[in-house]
Amino acid sequence: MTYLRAIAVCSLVLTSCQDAIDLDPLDNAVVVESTVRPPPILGGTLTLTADDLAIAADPDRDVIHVVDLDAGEVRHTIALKPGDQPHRIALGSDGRAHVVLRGSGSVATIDPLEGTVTARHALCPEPRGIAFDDADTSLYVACAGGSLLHLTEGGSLLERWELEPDLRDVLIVNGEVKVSLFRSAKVIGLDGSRLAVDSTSDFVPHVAWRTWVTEFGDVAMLHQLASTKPVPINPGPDELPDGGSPYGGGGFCDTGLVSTAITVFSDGEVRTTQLPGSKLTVDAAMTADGFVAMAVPGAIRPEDRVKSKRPNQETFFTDFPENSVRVEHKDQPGCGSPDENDYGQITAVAYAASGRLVMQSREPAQIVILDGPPGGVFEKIALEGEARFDTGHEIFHRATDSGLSCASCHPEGTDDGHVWDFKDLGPRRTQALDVGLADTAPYHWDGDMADFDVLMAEVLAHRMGGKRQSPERGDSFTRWMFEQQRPAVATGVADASLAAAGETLFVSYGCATCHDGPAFGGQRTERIAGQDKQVPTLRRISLHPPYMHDGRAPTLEAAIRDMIVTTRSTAAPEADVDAIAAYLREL
Amino acid sequence: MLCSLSLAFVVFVFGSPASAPADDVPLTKDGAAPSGPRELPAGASAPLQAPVQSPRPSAGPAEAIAPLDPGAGPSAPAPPFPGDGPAPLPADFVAPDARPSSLPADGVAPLAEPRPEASERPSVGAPAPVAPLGSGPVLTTTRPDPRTLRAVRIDLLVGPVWRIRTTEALVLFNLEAGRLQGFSGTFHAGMFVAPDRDVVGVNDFPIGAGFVARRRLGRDSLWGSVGLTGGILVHRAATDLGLVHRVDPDFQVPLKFAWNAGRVGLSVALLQGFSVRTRTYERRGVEVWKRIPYRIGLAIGLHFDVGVGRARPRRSPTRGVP
Ligand code: HEC
Ligand code: HEC
Repeated sequence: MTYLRAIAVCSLVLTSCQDAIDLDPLDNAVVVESTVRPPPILGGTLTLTADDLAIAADPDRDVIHVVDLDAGEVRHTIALKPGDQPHRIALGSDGRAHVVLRGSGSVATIDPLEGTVTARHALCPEPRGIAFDDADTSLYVACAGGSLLHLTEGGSLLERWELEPDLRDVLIVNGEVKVSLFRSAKVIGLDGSRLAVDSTSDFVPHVAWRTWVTEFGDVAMLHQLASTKPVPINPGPDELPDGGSPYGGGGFCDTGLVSTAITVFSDGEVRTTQLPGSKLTVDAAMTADGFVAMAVPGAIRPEDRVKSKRPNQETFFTDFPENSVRVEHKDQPGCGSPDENDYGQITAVAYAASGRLVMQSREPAQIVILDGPPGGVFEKIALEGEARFDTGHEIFHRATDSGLSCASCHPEGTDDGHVWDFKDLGPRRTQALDVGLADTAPYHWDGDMADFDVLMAEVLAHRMGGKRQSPERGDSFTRWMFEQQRPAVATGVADASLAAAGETLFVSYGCATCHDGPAFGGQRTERIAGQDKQVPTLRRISLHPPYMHDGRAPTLEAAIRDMIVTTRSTAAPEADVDAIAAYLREL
Repeated sequence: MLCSLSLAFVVFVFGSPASAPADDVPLTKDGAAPSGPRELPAGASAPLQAPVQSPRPSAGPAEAIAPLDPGAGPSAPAPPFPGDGPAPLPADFVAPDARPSSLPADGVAPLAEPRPEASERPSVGAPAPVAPLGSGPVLTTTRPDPRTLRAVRIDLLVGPVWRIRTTEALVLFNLEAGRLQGFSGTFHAGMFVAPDRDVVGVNDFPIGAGFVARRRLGRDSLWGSVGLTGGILVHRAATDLGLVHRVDPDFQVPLKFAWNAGRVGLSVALLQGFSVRTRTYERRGVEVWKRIPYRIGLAIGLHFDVGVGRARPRRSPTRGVP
């Protein structure tokens, strides 16, 4: 009898052995970490002058290149300070150019002909957009925190407006100043006017990578559309799209969870063109006849393609190499065109007056000039600078089977402000990643991702359809991710005493007991309104409404009221809420 | 669910083979009983008297003992069977040397079964009629007691194999070598072809060895056997990652029925197997293929007896030597 029992126990133990083989391909390519780990792609760093000079900002290497397109050579490489992260460029008067320095919160004025920096002006924590007003030779600079600065070309402040947080591009449309909002993909005017992209039944607009004024004086916007449909995260075998993943994909020409779109706002008409089969697209340029060139740094490279090793199994995709540039007509978009050329990782595009397409590749650093349609002959002009290929950066940006990159939902390495509807989980607002994630594990609102290895396997490989990563690559990715931390985006308006009062209230209301640590959160899980949630970080909180895991609080004030009500028995006086809000906006 | 399954299985796997030897044990024990050898001479001739169509060779001799015993000593039966008689007799008298003739040796084992054995088997019933009927030596020469015959049997089987939700196809080669009735060593090698080959195309190759206990069932040429084998299950899967190979321990309890027609016969086998590990494949975190460790196969095929002949007698001090 004891024998039988022993045998039964043994066999139970043996049967519980399960050997699961993960069929997702494993990426164990060698880890490459560049000396300075590159920041997430910002996109749109290229501007052409009337006399065919290309001014290309390089946020990975903190330099600005001046390239003579006709001669096909680099005129100057202007070095900036480490961490400057040059981004958008506006052409000023007398051949000068003004470059926004995202990393150091200033604007540099350069002389492209001489190759020198003529001036630097510190402005605000994270300047993003810049425009030059020919009418009065003044500059407008939009700051992430919501300030719009009007400056003389020499850099003295003329005027300052406090608009909404998360400003991006500044446009001067028929003499009027407009600013785009990054996460919500809107355009707001100083007069309070708003341009918004229409939502469809399945998609809402978000993440306006680039907004510009067309030759016809219309406002054009390259933005993403985010799906509002329930997203399966634990699908059954039959629900898995063929060759795709729970986050979609599999088809050659489908619109995944996140797709790219071009919207043109012209006199009361809003026309949105959704681009099927679109990968992370960070910059666009349009010709007068409606062709749009797009920088697609998240394209799948040929070596990323997973080819079936089973006999007689051909992968559908193999015949369609993707490239990191895409040209479509905005009225009849296709699904990308096969293109055998290797242009590098294109992050910015511009059309020259001659009709040539000029592109900037991040890695290898080069300017590419294409005379005809993609796939034709092209010219490469190598740019100076160390290699910035980096494993962490690569994993974050490259597209997966679902068409998504991490950067599709975490653009610029932060968040998209979208509340996703996950089947079996509920609504979840994307979390910001540029807040300093070190020491905030576990991740996700529910804390269900113990570390980045789990997150890579579960999110990158399983949900998104990417490759599994070797432990070395996972570690390298973790280190890269932990380095991503942007400074606070204090709006500066809030009067300092109000914010100081808010800080005191933040402590006295006991907020700091949960929202603690360097990131004001991420340290623990707490039960709020009956649900256990990771205490979120409050860094850069003003940038990404709506708030809470399910996005239930549309404004920061609503979130604070919600917090006071759920963590204390007292109702909150409005004055306290305002004071705390002023304080939180400075974090 | 799984627990109860595994338990049930355990009982089966380890229970069945245990019961098979249990049948044999009393036989040999009894055969070794001191009284047995004394009756051997009588027994030796008994088979000769057995009816031509003895339905159960094992029962036959035992029954024969009863009537003969009261009759007389070793010499008594000899006269009625002049032709065949001489062979057994020398064996009896000069046991070690004579045995090679094998015929008496055959007699030994069954005869060893004493009276009680006969009484345990009421089905065989009246012993008396048997003896009178006994007329032909023919049987013994053409159909010796299978327990004394060695046999090499090759089975080629095909059939479906059931796992809880899937059904696989099986092709199996099986070699058994040993006694025609009694224990044989067994070796098998085969292939399971799993269905659902879109994502993973799986072929499993069981290779194992063990023993089977075979005996004649009912009349003539119907045989039944049960066995226990241990070995490996080589798992070979064609996947997008290339070929995947894994090896699991594998146990099998083959329950086989065979009809003979000369050297060729028909086999039907119920093959219960247990390969210890559940094997799963996941794609995008979703289980796309699964094999549980339990299986039951129903296979049908042909067997070929490639070598049937006399077994060398077992050396046993209690047999043949008074
Ligand atoms: C479909 C959009 C989407 C994609 C693609 C995506 N994320 Fe997320 N990310 C989210 C959402 C939504 C959350 C909150 C999820 C939750 O709480 O369950 C989140 C949360 C996170 C967090 C948690 C932050 C914290 O403070 O706990 C990290 C880290 C993260 N994502 C990294 C990544 C990485 C790395 C990738 C690429 C492998 C990636 N994400 C791809 C939408 C996305
Ligand atoms: C018991 C711990 C705890 C206390 C005390 C607490 N919070 Fe929170 N806070 C949380 C948790 C947990 C969440 C996430 C809740 C959710 O998503 O449902 C949160 C969310 C927030 C958010 C939204 C963050 C985002 O990214 O969406 C803000 C703003 C906030 N808290 C501010 C405060 C303020 C102000 C106080 C003090 C009045 C406070 N919290 C007190 C635990 C706490």
